[in-house]
Amino acid sequence: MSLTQRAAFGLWLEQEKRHGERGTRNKRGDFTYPELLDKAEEFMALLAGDADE
Amino acid sequence: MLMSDLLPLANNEAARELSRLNENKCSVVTTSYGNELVLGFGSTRVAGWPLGEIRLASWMLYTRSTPWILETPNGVVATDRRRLRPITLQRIERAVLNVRVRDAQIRNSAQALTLHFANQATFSLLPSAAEVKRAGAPVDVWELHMPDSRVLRASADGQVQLMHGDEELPEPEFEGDLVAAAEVADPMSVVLTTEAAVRGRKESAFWRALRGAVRSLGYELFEPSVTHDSGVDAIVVGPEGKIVAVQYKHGLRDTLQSGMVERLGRLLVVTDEPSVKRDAKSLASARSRGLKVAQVSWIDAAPPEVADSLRALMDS
Repeated sequence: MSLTQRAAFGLWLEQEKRHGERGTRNKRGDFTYPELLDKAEEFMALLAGDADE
Repeated sequence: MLMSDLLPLANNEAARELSRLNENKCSVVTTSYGNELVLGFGSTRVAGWPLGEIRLASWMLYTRSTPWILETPNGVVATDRRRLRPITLQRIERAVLNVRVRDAQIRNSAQALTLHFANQATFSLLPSAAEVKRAGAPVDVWELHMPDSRVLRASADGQVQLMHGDEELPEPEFEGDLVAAAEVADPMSVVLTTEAAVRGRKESAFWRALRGAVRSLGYELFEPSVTHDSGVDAIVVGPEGKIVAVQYKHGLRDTLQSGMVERLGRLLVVTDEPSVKRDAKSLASARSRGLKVAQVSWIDAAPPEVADSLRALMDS
């Protein structure tokens, strides 16, 4: 993950929460550490363009 | 050359880069994961896939987990002490959105940053003097992503680095790194700062220091392109074909037992620890066997001191 990607990742996570893709860490929908790792993988896959979505 | 191959910026250089932010208007007020306030300046664009409708500005200031305060002559508008709810963001927007930055300043060695706006609003980042490191890693104080894909990255250990946004951050090398970091920091901090990332930064700083020293002396530097078992990380060839082995990554004990080092006869030990006293016994033993050895700590030492040690070894 590059510096630019890492910055974008943080913005994207907030957007995910707004879109209902929430984590289970707390009632605000933050992500647990394993969830965060999954989200990082998902994000990198989206950037690479090989996601199904 | 990658941007990160540049030495950490001196204060005046960082100030010069930062001054380019002046005269830009605040154009984005948003949050990033972990209750991080993000301010954008200058022209904006829709980020696009996969960020969708999120707007990015030419300049994006990420405040990391650093405390901050936004004040106007009428009083405090917002601070980091409360969660960034939409109403807080609206207050911040009312105070600074579309307002020009008059002056951006780094105030102290902890890289505290203040933006003075044209309407006398002041945004200040307030890094703690005590919290230089967390989970062994220097705390990121702020990051300023600039229009030309460059990033000014300030850390609480007193450094501002000029990096390229496309530069890969080192991946965590093993789970232990992550677990250790996770125990003391929130998950976002783990993504932001890992032991491995710090090691990567230290290593690139080592290479910068060594390359700079070798260049200044007119010597030649050979860097191995593959990992090998010699215990030597680099070889420097000086005048009359004299050679100095350089150890940084390899364990000192392995290096001192290396046949190659014994044959070369000269060794420069570079450490990223502030104190090098604990190696004194091993080095004394090596010297008693005839090895010419010098040790330098680049955390304390400026590159000229690395050069001085190299020259002294070559002359010995």
